[in-house]
Amino acid sequence: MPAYRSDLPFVPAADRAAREHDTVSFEVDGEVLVARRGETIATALLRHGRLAFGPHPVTREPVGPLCLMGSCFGCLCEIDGRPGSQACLEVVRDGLIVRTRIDT
Amino acid sequence: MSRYGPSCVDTIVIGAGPAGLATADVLSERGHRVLLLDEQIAPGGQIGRRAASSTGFERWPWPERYGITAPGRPRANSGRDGRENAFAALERPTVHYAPGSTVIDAVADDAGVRITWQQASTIDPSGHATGTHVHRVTLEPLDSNPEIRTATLDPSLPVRPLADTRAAALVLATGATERPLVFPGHTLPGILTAGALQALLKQAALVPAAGGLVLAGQGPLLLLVAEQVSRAGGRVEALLWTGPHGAYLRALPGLLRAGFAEPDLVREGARLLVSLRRRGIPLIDRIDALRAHGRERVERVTGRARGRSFAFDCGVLGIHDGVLPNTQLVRLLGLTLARDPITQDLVPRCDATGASSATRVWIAGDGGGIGGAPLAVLRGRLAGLAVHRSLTGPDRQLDERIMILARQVTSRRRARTWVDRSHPPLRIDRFADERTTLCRCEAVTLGEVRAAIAAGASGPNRIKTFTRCGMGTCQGRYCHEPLDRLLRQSTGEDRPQWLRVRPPLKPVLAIDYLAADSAGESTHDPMSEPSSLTRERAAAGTAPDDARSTES
Repeated sequence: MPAYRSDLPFVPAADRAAREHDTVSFEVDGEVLVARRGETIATALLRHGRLAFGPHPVTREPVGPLCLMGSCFGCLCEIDGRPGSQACLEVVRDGLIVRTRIDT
Repeated sequence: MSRYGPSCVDTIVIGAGPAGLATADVLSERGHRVLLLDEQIAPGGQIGRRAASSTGFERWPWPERYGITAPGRPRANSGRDGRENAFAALERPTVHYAPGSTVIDAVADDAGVRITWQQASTIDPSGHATGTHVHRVTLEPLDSNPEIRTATLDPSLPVRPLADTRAAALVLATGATERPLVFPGHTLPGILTAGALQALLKQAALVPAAGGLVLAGQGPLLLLVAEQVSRAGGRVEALLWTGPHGAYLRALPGLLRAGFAEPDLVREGARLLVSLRRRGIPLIDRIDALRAHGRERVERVTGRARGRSFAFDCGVLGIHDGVLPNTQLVRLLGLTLARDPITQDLVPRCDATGASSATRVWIAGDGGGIGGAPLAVLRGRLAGLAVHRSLTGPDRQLDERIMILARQVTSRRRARTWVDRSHPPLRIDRFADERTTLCRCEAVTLGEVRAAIAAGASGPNRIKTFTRCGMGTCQGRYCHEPLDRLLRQSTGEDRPQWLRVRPPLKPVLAIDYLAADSAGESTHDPMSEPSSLTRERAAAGTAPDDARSTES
């Protein structure tokens, strides 16, 4: 069971099933994060307090996911070398390498 | 789930939510082979969203525990909750369910319908993460290819969706998206839609941390989210209700009618309101101003209600302003849309069975006009029966069933209109000012779009050409509706016109796209190791091809 920090914007639901779960670890921008098995890459990042996934390509202001269902494109990342991937539509798995929106 | 590939299927169903699953169920029950494509990692649609697992999907404990019931119709001999297994279709060998599959192109013409889709490797049903693959599906006219329906699947084949799959009918069950709530600061990280908060709960068992959540907007879903988050141990600091004052009163006659036709719906609404009051969630209504503040993320939401100012600190702001049919694929296929008489939203034109303006294309569930999950199940079954009829020919008993079901769906949809009447979409400038972003991807402001209209941009596609509004990575998924609302409200023009949608629908690597093309009828096996070219990862072709735009 991973340790959770209390200053995070999202916390596990008040239920044993929410806290006890299998984990996978993956890499985001060089940092190793622990996620819940079966969740998406986007929720795994939100779990660790990452609300912003990178600078907006036009305004350079921080952007983050809005809809988590594949519509808003606020969660675009490079996933295992594939740019322009939607982090909310892919399951997190061990050894995955994610780079959040690359400043171009 | 099928263990062999569908080189030929009778029907392609896009979307594995309540409607798509019901369609696949009806068709597979009658012996038809179905290719069920779904973009999400697990079946169930938004309402039945759950975590993925090695067996395809996890029977998530949350739905039952937090009042999120799986869609299904009551049946005497079903499970202990009195509902039929909504996922029955997935267990049939004639259904090939492909999660993580995104449609990237679709063409409909005299030769039939051609669909290109890609499946992400991470959720490959075979369990081998080998890279993303692009597949093509051709939907050919039944009469020109009589052998399509008689071709048999070879059970000895391994799981292998072929590069070129053929089918005889197409059912779009692509569901709904949320209507954007547009206000100053709405693009800040930490602002999520009500649906996103549900996704976090259902798929990741996460709730906003205590003291951090404020909800803003209107609609039944916002109340449901307040209730679900509270039940899961979260706390809603304030519910900022943006609905116009008196809307409930004006919708009262409809509510009374709905009370007779849809008692469950009305009871559920009443239960939510009572529950929110009992939990002591502060409800602020009659809001005239709303604004989000923060530097790197949302930190505070302020506004004015009943002439008095309010301010709340927040770490997460949940927003919602009702739902819309997802028409991205409908517009790409060039199907006809019409205006919903109540909401004025653009809705695909289809008959009572869901048959669209193109032959062999049906639309089931919320994607054909909002009706909600229980109704989506019925509409999915109805579309399934209609497709079955088109494949096997008319039959007196079948025709009667279709007619009865169509009548039921029509009357229940009519009863549900009070929901739309009591939550009319807001005027676009209710909270937004000239500097508020309308198009998130290209950062186009309301003022820039207004200036384009003043300069003579008379339709959404011209505005797109003038300003780049709707030209970004989401391809207008988010701004097409606010843009339509702005155009209607500032010019008074309300004939149906819409932002064109261009392929690719979603980002795809050019090299994958080309590989699928060259595969054609060859024996190319997309499930095998990716080619070295794929590994080289050519640049993503994300931007819609607007060079072909011919505005007239």
